[in-house]
Amino acid sequence: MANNGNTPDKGFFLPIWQLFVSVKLTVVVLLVIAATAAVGTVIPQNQPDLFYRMNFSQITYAIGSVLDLFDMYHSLWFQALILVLAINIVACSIDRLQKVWKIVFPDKITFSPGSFTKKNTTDPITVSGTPETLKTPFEKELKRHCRITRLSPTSNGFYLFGENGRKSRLGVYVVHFSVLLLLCGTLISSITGFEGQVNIPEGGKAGVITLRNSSQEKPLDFEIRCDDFEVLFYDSGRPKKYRSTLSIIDNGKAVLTKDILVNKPMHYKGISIFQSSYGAADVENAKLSFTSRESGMTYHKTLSLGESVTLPEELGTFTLEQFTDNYMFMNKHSLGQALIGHMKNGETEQKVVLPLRFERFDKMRQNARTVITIEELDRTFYTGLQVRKDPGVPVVYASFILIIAGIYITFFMSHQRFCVHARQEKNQTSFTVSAKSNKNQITARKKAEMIGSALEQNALNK
Amino acid sequence: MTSSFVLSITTFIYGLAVILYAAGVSFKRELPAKAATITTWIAVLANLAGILLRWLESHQLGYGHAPLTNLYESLIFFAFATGVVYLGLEIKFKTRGLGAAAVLISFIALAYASLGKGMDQEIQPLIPALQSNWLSAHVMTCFLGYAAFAIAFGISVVYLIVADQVTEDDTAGGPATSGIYSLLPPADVLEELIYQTVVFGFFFLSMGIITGAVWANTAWGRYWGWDPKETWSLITWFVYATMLHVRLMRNWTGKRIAWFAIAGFAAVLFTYFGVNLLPGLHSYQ
Ligand code: HEM
Repeated sequence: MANNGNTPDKGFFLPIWQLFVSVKLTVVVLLVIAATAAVGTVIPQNQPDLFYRMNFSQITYAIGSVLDLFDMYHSLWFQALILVLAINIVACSIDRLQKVWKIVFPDKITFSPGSFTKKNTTDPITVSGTPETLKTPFEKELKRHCRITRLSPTSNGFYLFGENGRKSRLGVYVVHFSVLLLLCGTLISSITGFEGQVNIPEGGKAGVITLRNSSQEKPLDFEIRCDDFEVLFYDSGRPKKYRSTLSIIDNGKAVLTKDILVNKPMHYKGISIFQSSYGAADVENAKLSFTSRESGMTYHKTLSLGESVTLPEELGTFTLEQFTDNYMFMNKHSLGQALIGHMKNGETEQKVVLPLRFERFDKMRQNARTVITIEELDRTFYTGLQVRKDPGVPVVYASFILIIAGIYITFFMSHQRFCVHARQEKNQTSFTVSAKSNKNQITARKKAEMIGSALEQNALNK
Repeated sequence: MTSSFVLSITTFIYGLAVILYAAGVSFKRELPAKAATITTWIAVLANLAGILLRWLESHQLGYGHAPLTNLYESLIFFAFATGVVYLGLEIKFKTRGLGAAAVLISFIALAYASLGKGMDQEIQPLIPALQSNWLSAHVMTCFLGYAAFAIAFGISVVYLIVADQVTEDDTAGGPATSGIYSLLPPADVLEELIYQTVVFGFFFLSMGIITGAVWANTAWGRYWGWDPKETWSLITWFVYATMLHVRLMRNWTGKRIAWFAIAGFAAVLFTYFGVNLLPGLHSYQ
C-alpha cells in the first residue's frame, strides 16, 4: 500500500485536480494549520476589543484585526484551510479507492507463487508421507490460521495458499472518511446548535437564556426551576462539589427533576444543562450583633430583609433594607457584597453598610451609639447553568469511534498472504512456507514460521 | 513507607538500569544488558507500587482518587508508561541496545518529579471538574502516547549518531557491528523502530485527544474549545500525522524521519510543559 503512490510531482502547471490528489498538499496544509493554530494559543482569543487596544500597539492591533487573529479559529481563512484538507481527502479517495476496491473485492481471488520472495520463506521442512496424503490435513490445518485457502496441485506436489485481512486495506479510508464525518459533525454543531448561560436563584425559574456569542436572549421551549443549590468545600477551602437540583417545567407541569453536578449534566428535549458557576443571590435572614458603645453590652438579633428591630438602652431602631451584590463606597471603592440598612434614633437617621468581606467596617460609622457586625447569614444562592443544544454530538462521537477503529485497522492489521509449497522427495515431503504482507513484514514472516511448525506437528501426529 | 520514598528509590533503580544498559553497549557484553533488563523490570514494578501507594494514601486522606491529577503525578505515570512501553519494545523486537536511551527518559522524569523546583507533591482533593472517570482514561491514554513518542525520540537520537557511523563503515543497511554499537540493531531496523513506536504513540494520542473531548463535553458542555492545551495536542497530532504520510506516501526514510520524530517530541513537550505558561483550563497549577 505504501509503494503504489501515483502522486504527480513533475512540473508546476498541475491541473487543479492533480493538486488536490497530491499528498504534498496534505503535508503542506497540515503543517500550515499546525503553525497557525499555534499562533492562536499565544494571542489570547475572543477577548473584548478593549483588551487588544490596550495591549497591542496600533499597528499590531490593525494587522491583528484585518487577519482576524483575535478570533482566528473561526476566521474564514482558517476554515478555508480545513476545507482544503477535506477536499484533499475526498479527491484522493475518489482517485485511489477504485483501485483498492478492486483488490479488496476481486471477482475471483487468485494467487501466484512467483509473487512470494525468498527472503520471507522458511527453511524447508521434511515430513513423512506423500503430498497426496498430506493435502487434506494440511489444508484443514491452514484453515485454522487463514480465513481463505486455495489448493493448487503441481506435477510433484502442491501449492497451498492462505490469506487474511484483505479488507484491512480499507482502514485508511475508514480514517479519512471519519475525519470528514468529524468535520460534518462540527459543522452541524455550529449551524444548528446554540450555547447560552442562565443564572437561576434557588426557588426561582427561568425560560430564557443569554447566548454566549451574541449576548442575545433566547427563549427555551420549557422552563428550568432551581429547587436547591448546594456548594461543599474541602477543609483547605477548595471547592468539592456544586450540586443543583433542577426541575423541568414543560407546559406548566414539572416533568423531570434531577440533581446535576459538574460532570453530570442533565438532558431534556435535545438540550443539555451543565453546572457551570454559582453565586450568592440574596439573603433571607441575617443574624446581627449590636454592641453599645456606652455600656459595651452586645445584643443579638435575627432579621429578615425589610424587618426592623428596636434596641434596648434607647440605642435606636434598626431596619435591614437590602442585600446588594456590589456596594460602591463613596462611589469609588468596590466593597463587594454587602447588607444595607438604616438606624433611626429620634430625628436622626443613619445609613448602615455591612460589607461581608470587612467585618469591622461599621466601627467607622461616626456619631453612632452602636457597632453592628454580621454574625451569620442565611443566604440563597443562584446556580449558574450552561445550556446547550448540540445536534452534532452524536455525529462527532460516531466519528471518534470510527477514527480509533480505523487507525487500529490501518496500523495494526495487515493483508497477509501465505504460500505452502510441498514437493515429493522419495517417500517423504519437503515443504516451505512463504509470507507476503502489505506491511509489518516481520510479523508476517513470524507467522509463516508458526504455520510451518504447526504443519510439521500435524504431519507428525498422523 | 510513603509513596514518595518508594518513588525516590525507584529513581535510583532506573538510574542503575541506564548505567547497566550503557555498559552493555560500551563493552559489547550481553551480561550487563541482561542485568539491565531485570533492573528495569524491578524499577517499573517499584514505580507501579509507588503509584498504587499514593492512591492508597489519597484514600486515607479521604479523597480517594487515582493519582493522575497534577504535574507531579503525571510525571510519575509518564516514567512508568515509558518503562512499560520500552519493555514491550524490548520483548517484541528482541534488542537490548536501546535501553539506555529509553530508560534514561524514565529516570529524568522521576528525578524531575522528586527534585524539580516548586514541584507540588501534596495530595490534593479534586475540584469538581476533575471528578470524572474520563479524566483517568484521558490522562492514561495521553501519557502512553507521550511515552511512546519519548522513546521514538530517544531512538531517533541514537539513530542520528549511529547512521553516520554505519555509512563511514560502508555497511549501510547491514548490521552495525563495528565500533561500540554491536548491541544495537542495524540502522534500517532502528528506523523501522522509530516508525513503529510513533505509530503506537499516534494511536494512543488519538485516544487521548478523543477521551479528552468526551470529558470536556460532560464537564463544560463542549467537546472542543480551542483551549491552548487542546490546540497543542492537536498540533502534535498533526505533526505526527504528517510524518506518517510522508513516510507512507512519499517514501521518506532515514534521517528525515528521525528529525520528524524529534520535532514531534518537541511539540509533545510544549503540550506538556509549555502550555502551563499560557492561560487556560488545563494548566496544572
Ligand atoms: C487529518 C487529516 C488527514 C488528511 C487531510 C489526510 C490526507 C491524506 C491523503 C490526501 C492521502 C493520499 C491519498 C490516499 O491514499 O487516499 C492520505 C494517505 C494516507 N493517510 Fe491520510 N489524511 C489525514 C489523516 C490521516 C490519519 C489520521 C491517518 C492515520 C491512520 C492517515 C493515514 C493515511 C495512510 C496510511 C495513507 C496511505 C494510504 C495508502 O497507502 O494508500 N491519514 N492521507
